[in-house]
Amino acid sequence: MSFFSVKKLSKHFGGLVANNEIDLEVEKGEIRGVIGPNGAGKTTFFNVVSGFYQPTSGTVEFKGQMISGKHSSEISKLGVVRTFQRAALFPDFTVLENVVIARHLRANTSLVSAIFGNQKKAEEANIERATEIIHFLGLDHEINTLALNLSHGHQRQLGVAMALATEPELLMLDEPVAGMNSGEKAVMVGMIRKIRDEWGVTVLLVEHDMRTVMNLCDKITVIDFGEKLAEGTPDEIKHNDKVIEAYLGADDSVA
Amino acid sequence: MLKSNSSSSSRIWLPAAIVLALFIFAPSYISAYRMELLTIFLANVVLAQSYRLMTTTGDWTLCHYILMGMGAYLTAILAKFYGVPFYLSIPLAAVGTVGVSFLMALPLSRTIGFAFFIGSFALGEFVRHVWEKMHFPFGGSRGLSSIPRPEIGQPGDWYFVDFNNYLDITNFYYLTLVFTVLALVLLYRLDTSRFGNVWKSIYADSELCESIGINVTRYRILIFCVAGFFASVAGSMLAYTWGAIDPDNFGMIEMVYLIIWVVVGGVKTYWGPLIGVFSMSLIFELTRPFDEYRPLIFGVILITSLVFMPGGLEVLIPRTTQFFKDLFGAKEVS
Repeated sequence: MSFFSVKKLSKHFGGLVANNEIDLEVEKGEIRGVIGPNGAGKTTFFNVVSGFYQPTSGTVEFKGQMISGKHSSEISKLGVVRTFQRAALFPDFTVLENVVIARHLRANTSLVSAIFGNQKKAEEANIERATEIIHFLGLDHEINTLALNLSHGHQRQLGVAMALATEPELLMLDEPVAGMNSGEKAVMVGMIRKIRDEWGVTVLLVEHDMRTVMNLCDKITVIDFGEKLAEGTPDEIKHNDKVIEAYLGADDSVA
Repeated sequence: MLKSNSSSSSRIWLPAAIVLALFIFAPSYISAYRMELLTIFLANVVLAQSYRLMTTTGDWTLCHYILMGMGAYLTAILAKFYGVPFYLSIPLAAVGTVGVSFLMALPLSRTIGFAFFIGSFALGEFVRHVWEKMHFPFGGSRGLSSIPRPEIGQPGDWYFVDFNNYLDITNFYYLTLVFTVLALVLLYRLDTSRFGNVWKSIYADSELCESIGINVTRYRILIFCVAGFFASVAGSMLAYTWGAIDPDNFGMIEMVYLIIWVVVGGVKTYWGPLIGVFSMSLIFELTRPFDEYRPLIFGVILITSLVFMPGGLEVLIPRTTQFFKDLFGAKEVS
């Protein structure tokens, strides 16, 4: 039984085949990157795996449990949590409040105790843990800032903090460094490493930025035209002819 | 649940106590006719506040008045045909309305935005037609009349409270006030609880909510039921106040007024709808001599407030408090 395995996953939009029989196995504790040229089907793959789309065929299993076809909130409950390409957050809440809300799965959600119980006490543990997560990701200085006033880099970091707040076992990051400057990228890369190294969270990420992927991932899967093209360590991928062809085009003048 | 809420909750006690005192002593300085208006006003406050709860997820329904009507009808049926006392009929009606809300929310939770809006209108009208067409138990288009007044004890009991004096409804007014305060406190607790924040989060970003494990559909159904519960309490109070109800009491015009209250007051904070109901009820009473121009007047008010104050009257609260702070701050210096 593998930790996370995708078997022959296909997603069709009418006649368009976005993903065609993709296989993927992720080991526990790994940082796995999924790359591919524009329109290769990375984001579709991501959305199917996280339950935002239903697959046309194929299965996704997490620790021996089928998660394909499940509602995305149920998948999160099982420990597979995703982030978004955009800066997804609750703009009118502070950083701390955002992370506390993201503790939903770990919070007491009984209507009766919400009305009649001691609200402060019920949230104490969540606030404490949220503060810990914010500290871990180095967002301390922004803890009481409204989310909408954060810089783009910090907003994306907050997105990761919120995903972490659900205590996932597999963290799925959708283009974690998109739209960032090099400084912000370095911070994010450090953050992802730290999450894996210190908290043992397995990471699966989709990314455009080659340098980040090569530098961060243990193993890389390349997708092109909806199909798996290659898989291997960053070094193997760098020297894979098929990958070079997909990215640069097969042209005699190049070779 | 969080810092910002708890600090604001300590600041509201004084104004809330003053307003409550005004309502408690109202019978001593208000005429008997106005007392009835004030009783209806209290029901409207609960209604507006429950509607505001509904809008926190961004789902503006067009059937909230129907949910209130459901509460009124169920209370009337229980009290009239089965002699159920008010302290049981009001909660039972509320539970029944929650059931109806749930059935309506099942299909509605699959829609968003415009479809939700129109769908809620259609379902609401459907329920209203059921009232109109079914003579038993809803009394058809003539509705239900001679709904018995609440009773506490019999004449002679030491705890007897007289609710049957139609010239002096002070006792009944106090009963309504108790239910209103209860409903408002519960709604406030809900608003500041995790549930309140989850509902606001669904409005902000429902995809993100799903990703952090919030079952958005479930929470949208839940809020519909909870809002229905409190709308039903408002309906029960109206049924007892009026003594007679018919399907026309719960029509589209009333729904439009409800929307005007909430839009003019604002929905972002808990206080917006209260300000909205208060100011609009005041204008409603002041324009009594120009009855036929009322739709025009309220139309102008709605458009003006949307254009010049899209956040509603509630945006004035922080400005006023800031003004007083500056005032007192200046005094300290001098």
